[in-house]
Amino acid sequence: MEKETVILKIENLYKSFKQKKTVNEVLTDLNLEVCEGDIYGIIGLSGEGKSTLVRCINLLERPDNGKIIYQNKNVIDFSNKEVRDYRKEVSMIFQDFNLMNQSTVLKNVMLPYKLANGNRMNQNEMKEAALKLLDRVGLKDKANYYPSALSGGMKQRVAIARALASNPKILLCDECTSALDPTTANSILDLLQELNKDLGLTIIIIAHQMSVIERVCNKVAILSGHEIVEKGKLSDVFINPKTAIAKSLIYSDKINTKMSDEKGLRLTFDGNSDEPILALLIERCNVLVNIMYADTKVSEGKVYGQMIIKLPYYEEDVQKVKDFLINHGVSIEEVTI
Amino acid sequence: MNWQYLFTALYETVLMTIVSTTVAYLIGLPLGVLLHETSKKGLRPNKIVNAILGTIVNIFRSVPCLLLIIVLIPVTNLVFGKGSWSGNWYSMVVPLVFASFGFVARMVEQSLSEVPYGVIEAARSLGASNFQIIFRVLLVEAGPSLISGFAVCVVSIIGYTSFAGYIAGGGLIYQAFTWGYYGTEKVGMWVCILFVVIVVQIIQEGGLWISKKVDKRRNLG
Repeated sequence: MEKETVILKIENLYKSFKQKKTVNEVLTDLNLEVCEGDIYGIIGLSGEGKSTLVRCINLLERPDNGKIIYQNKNVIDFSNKEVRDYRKEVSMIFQDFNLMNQSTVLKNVMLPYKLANGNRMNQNEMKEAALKLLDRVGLKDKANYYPSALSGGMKQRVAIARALASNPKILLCDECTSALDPTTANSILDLLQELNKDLGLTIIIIAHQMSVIERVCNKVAILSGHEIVEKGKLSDVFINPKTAIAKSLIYSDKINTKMSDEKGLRLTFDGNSDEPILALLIERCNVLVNIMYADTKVSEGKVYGQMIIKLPYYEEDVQKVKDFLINHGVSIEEVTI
Repeated sequence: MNWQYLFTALYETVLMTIVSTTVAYLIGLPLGVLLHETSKKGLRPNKIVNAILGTIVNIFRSVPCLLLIIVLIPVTNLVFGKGSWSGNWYSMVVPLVFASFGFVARMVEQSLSEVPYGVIEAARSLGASNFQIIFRVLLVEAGPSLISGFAVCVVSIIGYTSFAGYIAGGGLIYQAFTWGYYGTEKVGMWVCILFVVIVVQIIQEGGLWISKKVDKRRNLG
């Protein structure tokens, strides 16, 4: 495995908000490492501080304590001028797009160039560069439109073009698909993935839906109770979620984990099998199984995903089923559902 | 009715209004920006500066224009030379500016506060300085609202010009008052009133029309 270079490191981050006399702790002792080229998903339920975390990264919010290390420097110590330069390397897109409504699409994308200090481009160079970016996001023909004439998906594409204008190393996405319908959301996510591959752009995505993370991220952190409860490679966390919150996010309420307390067996398919496993299991072991939950995908003829089946009543049947599955290359784990 | 008087009065009113509005905006616009940016939701909250500016604005807004005329006679003397201004339209410029710059500042502050916070935050995330946010984002996005606010300010300044008579500054409203009060020119009075109504209509409706015209928020959507 090739060695990964850490691009952003968050150490012992604390953030709280003071409301009159009460102090509302939002992030406590948070640690996170993002590597170059990652698409890092941060997921959690509403009000867990996901947005606060991402806004601390580009210092839209000032952390109370801790370190944010970018290129061997703690950005929290930066002067105002250094912060502005740092923000040009760590761009951001938002849930509500936040475009300038009184400016055309082209002028919106040109804004970062106008904000640049020193060796400024002339008007024509700015225009050309902005048009190139609009072409990149597929909106060159909309350059002279005003944002009010665009759909939500188009607005987010303009916002992405604007965020790319300063040639950032990291792109922060704060619920960037939450205001969009699923098809449009997916097209935005696909665009982000393209940018990640083509430009080597590191992306940090905040979301409250697992489907967003699943589609594009290679790593994920689960935020709960003001701290990260699980983090790592998407495949690891996804196949083997340990905490209740991770389970509820991954199974997305299809199983009510609180109500029942039955034993089940989780089957994880990681592309090793192209046989009709379950049918074979029933035939060979002569037991009937009940599928409690299934979320599998077939890609290039191989099955990926997971399934939870209810355990047979007799212990010997349980053993038979387990042996059969292990022999067929399916990883299993007993779970409480 | 003496048409000569009428047109002189119209000319005086228009000049008073244009010059006073210009100066009031030269003071009120930056003041309004400062009021907004030092407020809680502004780019650089500063309770003390905000309170001081707010107090200055409130003082000049609460002293009636009529009293300002008298109180500010020394200032008018200083600007135009002692005694030389009496009987000229510009005698009202100083009191008009002082009576209206606070109002202008509050209108500007209000317009700026209508700009969605997210847009400002986006500019900040792109590395914009506060100065750049004000000039490249806030004033641009608040454009239509600033224009309609401008119309309201001009109309209120026209209202203040009615006090010009007290220091022989002339103007339409004073002309109407004189003709009506002495009962010599009832028709003239009504014509003056009609002129004032027309001027106010043009400014108010024209301002709103331009404001809507330049507003790109819903023209095509």
